[in-house]
Amino acid sequence: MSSYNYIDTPNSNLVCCICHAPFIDPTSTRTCSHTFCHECIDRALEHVAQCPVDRSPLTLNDLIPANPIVRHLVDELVVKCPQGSEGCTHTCQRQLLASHIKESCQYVHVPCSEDGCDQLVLKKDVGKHAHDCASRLTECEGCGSKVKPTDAEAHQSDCPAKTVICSFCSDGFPRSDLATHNSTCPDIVIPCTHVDNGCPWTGPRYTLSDSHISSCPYESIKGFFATNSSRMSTLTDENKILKCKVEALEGIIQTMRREMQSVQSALGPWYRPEGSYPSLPRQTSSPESALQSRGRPTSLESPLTTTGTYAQLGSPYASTSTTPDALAAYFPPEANENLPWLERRLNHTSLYGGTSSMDVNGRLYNESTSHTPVAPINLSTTLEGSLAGLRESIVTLSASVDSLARRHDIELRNETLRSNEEISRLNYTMHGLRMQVHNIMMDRNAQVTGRISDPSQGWSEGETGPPMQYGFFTPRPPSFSPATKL
Amino acid sequence: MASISSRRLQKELKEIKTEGCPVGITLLEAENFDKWLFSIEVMGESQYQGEAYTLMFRFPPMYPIESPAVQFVVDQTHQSPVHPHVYSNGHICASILGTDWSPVLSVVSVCVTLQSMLASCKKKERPPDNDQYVSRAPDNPKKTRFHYDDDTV
Repeated sequence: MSSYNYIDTPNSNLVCCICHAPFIDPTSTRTCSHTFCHECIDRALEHVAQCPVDRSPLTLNDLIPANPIVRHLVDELVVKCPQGSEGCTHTCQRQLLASHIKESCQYVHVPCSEDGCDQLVLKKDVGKHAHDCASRLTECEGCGSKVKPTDAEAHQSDCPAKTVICSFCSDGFPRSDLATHNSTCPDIVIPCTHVDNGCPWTGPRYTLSDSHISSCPYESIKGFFATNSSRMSTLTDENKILKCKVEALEGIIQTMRREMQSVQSALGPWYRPEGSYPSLPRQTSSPESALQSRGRPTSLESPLTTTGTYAQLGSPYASTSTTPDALAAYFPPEANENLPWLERRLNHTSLYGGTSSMDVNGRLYNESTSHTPVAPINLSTTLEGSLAGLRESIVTLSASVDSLARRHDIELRNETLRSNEEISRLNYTMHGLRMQVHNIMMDRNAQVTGRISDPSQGWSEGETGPPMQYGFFTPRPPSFSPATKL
Repeated sequence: MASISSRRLQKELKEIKTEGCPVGITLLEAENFDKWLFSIEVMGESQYQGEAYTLMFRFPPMYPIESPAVQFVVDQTHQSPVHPHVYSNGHICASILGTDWSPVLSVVSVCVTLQSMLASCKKKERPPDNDQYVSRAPDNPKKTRFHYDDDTV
């Protein structure tokens, strides 16, 4: 939204009633013919869809550009140049202001045309500024290169085209030839050719070749200097190569160290630094004594003592995987407190497989149910040792499971045997009883038939009687031999 | 776009300074474009003869698209006029300050409207819901949804 400085007070008919300024892009309403600035009525309609003057309904569709006459009147209003604060006194019609600012106004700010300088100068001052612009490049007369005014003085001292005079031989020549002159000027003071090897002499060039060289002590041994320097350079090269190798090796060491650390952490409790393994306990060779020793309290000191065979990681002992002493690892450390009591107990029972067993607290169970204690993973031996220990535990467990099954079988068989015997005994008894009852019945029948000799009843002598009477008592020969004991 | 409000207020201020205010209305304070103070007096024979009240205008950034917040100043030295549309805290129930606001209206026109509202009042009394409203009123009267019933005043 622009604001103009109008020279004269504009006619009140040309003033927008919303912003109280002359119309900018006048727009009229089709419905009620009121005129406003386009932006003002736009914003007003966003708020309320009513004409601000008469509150009649209004939408954006009802807006049309104002009458051209109004437009012309407003565009021809005379305004002052907005750069009046800078000094421009130009006044013109409002419609011409844009081109004035763009082209003819001398009081607008423009950036300096030089690359380095980004100052803003008034257009009228551009010429003056270019003259003093710090970044303006001027051409040097002698060498033709472009220099900044600030560097102009500095350039004077090293312009290649400027003539300089050699301080020694008083010859004049352009500065660009200075280098070549220095290498040939006979009067210039130079050090001896053997200055690298330590000769301290300096003097004019002609003296060097004339007198000094013949008497320079370093001249005579220049052969030695040459060989020495070549040897030194070979040594330096070798040194460099060796340094690189050492760095590479150090890197390798780092990686290996890291790997070692990760391996260490992976092994966890099974990693022992060399020499920290417990001492070897007594070695027993026979399996029987080994089994006996299973219950020995001495081997119950701690699982730690059973790891003798695995003293070192990778030691030669590691090849023997199952030794008797490893078995002792089965007993957990808590059994320690019950040592003397255990001894007594163990002496009374036979130890084999899982027939008798001790639970964690060492109480011996004499019942038919028994369980083999499962030792915890022995962390005090090597990895192989622990794995072997685990395997042993599994073997023992399977053995105990086997024996358990067998025991169970036997028990069952025993039970059934007994039951069978009972049943057969009962059978005999029953048969005996039946026989007796049968005899009694026969006797009674005989008595009855003896007393009542009534042929109407249909019984004949010798007949055994109505079958109904002893339907239950069908004589059956016993299936077992009477020799069977009851 | 605070500039449209300041531009417009600048113009209004210039008009007031050059053309002056209508009779009975005096500009007391216009130091910035946020708050202006006017003194209102009802001329001629009326209920409020001889009484002067202070009117405070507060301008939103979208003025004149949005209406200003107008109220009578009420403090130790100022009272609000006793009028059926003026609450004892100074808030005014007037349609032109709410739904009937138009960007064509100006500060001076609002003052004149309020002046005529006071002048045409028959009976000095407070609005019926004055106490309830005052106890719950917000600081800015524009936050209140007034209900415009009375067409006679």
